[in-house]
Amino acid sequence: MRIFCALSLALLGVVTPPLAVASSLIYYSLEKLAKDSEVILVGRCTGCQASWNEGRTLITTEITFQVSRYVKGFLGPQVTIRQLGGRVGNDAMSVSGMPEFQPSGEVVLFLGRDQSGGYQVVGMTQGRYQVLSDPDTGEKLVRAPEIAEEELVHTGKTRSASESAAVPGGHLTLDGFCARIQKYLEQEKP
Amino acid sequence: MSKTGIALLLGLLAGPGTVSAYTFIYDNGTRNPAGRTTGAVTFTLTFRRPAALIGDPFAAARSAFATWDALTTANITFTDGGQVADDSVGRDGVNKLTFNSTTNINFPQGAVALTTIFFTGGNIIEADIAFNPNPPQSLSVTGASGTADIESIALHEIGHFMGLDHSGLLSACMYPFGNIGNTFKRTLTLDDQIAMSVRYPAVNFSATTGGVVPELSLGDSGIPGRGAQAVALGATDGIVVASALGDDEIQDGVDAIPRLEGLPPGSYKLYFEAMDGPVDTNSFDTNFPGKPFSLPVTRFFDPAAILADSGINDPAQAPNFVVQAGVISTNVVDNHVPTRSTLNITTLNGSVLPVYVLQGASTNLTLTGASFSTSGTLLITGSGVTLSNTTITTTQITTTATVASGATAGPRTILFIGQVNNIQQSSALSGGFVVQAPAALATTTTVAAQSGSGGEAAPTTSSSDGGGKNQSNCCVATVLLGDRTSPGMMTLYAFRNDWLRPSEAGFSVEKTYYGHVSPMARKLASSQALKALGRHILLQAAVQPLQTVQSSASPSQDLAANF
Ligand SMILES: [Zn+2]
Repeated sequence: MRIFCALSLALLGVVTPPLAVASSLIYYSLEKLAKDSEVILVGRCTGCQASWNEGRTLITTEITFQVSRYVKGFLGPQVTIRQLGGRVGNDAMSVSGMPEFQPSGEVVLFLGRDQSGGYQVVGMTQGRYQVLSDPDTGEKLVRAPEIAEEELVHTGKTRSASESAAVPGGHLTLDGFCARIQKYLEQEKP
Repeated sequence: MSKTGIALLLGLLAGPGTVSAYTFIYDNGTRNPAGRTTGAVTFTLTFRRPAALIGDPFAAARSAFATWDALTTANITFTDGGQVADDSVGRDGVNKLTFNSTTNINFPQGAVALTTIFFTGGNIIEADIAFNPNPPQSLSVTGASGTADIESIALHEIGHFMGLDHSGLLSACMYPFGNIGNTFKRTLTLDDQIAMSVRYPAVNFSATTGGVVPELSLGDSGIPGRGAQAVALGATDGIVVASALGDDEIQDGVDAIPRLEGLPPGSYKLYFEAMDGPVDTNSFDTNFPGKPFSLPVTRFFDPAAILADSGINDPAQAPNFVVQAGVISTNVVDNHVPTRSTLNITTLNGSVLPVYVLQGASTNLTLTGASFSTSGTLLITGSGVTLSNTTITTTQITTTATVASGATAGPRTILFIGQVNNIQQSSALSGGFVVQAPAALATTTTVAAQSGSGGEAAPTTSSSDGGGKNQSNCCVATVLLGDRTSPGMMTLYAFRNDWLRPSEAGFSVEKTYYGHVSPMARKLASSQALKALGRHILLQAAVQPLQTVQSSASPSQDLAANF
């Protein structure tokens, strides 16, 4: 599957998304993410383009998202972020902690400005929540293990792990996830 | 001030005090773990220091390199390449550590430090460590309350610098989230040591250690335990030794068969833990790109399991697995098909960091999560830790943990076992509870005290003259004035940072200093009489005049202009 994706990207002329490992981070709970982010959106990655800087000392990647919903802030129907790392030809620069994006993958993104004024994912991988699809119902789910039991969707509760490995426990529906973020934001209002 | 006086000061000042699951980073081009072709690496620091930081960040960084360097089971050697002015991060042929890296990179919100790594063909050809000059968390060189310890962070980033990815063990230096308010992660855990040693094995490492490749067959699914970590516990003491993450088909085309290598020979209990918080597969993007899945079960590994088994959740019932030197056991399969667990511990004391408790002491613990059954059992692996006053709701557990004075020191796992939907399930915080020996704590305190209080001990470090194992060098001024944060030393540092370093001449003199001062410092350190004389001269000739100048002038270029 991964080979297929890589080949597809090559055929499309799209550079492989950035490598990522992580770094020393502060921990963001969902509540902290919601409050500290300037923009929160649901969108699909439509492309990743990595390039060298002028002096060929750094590789950065531009990642573009088609936005389907804003939970906080507004940046228009398309949003592009730029982050450190990526692959150009045989050269790759990995940056600890940068999230990796799969073209067409749907995500909830928590964005904040860096010192250049551009947007990046808050808390690196912590500010990227991937939207999963329940294999049986097709319902969109987002992992949220820290949310209290009674709110969670336990898809496939009676199924064996092998049958439900694609949907681990502790999820909210995408709508429920966005509502939970709204609730945190409501708490902030005076 | 005469040029002679300046030259003397430079000689004394320029050294900053030369005190000095598991997983691997993958190259997504070659699909192989990326590493350096040699463990012998020269690192370079840059001159600028974090604003408003008290103490010596360079000594902290050097100390972190020295800690890895001292690891005898790994064939790595760090050579101190001195300091340079260029703070820029990127591919320039220099493996750099900088505290002021905004010259050409933009930190995302929430990052305290990061490591940039360049690969070609799966080989790391260069890496740089960059501390955020505007960190979201206050930094210190002492791990003081409310601060993140620079040496601990550097130790973690150096792991990345060499190709290590994160560990899912809360106690490990390579855990993705750093401790706040202590210096415990200045020490490498066994997990960290094994990771580096497997990547860069010293002679005989493979022959004197062993391992196992525990495989969860999940029966008919064809979806093995992607994203779970396998953890090895000492069979009798319950100490967490090492963890490894399933590799998600990158390395060998097969999902999630963790290789637990580098284990000292002995008996272990093995378990799989779902990466479902606090660490999840999000923290391992090169291993799990775009796949936020995790084996949704935590349980002990049982090669004798049959399909009808309900699975072993209690370490007391788990079989021992014997590791022999020089042997990696493969084709060890647990054929049981587990039921997905909804039970999940996600935070400890409102955080995702481990708890450290002294032998003979007790502490209160609060765990939060989901599906806690009120009739369930909370335990800490091994003997010597008892829990009392435990209360359980479906989302929270509170308890008091008391550590016996004779309890074995080291990281342990917090485990909750309960019935959910009539099926026994469990969840673990691996390495979440660390028993500390008083001696270990005293050592930590001493390290902090070297930079925070008096004492004549000459701080040790690698330096520009080698950086090999067990080398010891020191800065003349530090030897004479003792403590790196004594008023005298702080005066000298202030002069160096605010007045001297802005000039290129200052940089070059400082660099030259490195090559000549160590023998002198060693000589001084060996003689109390020489030290007393030197201290008197230094205070009279340098510190007192400087204090006068600094209190009456802004840091203009006046002094530097004397060059
Ligand atoms: Zn890291």
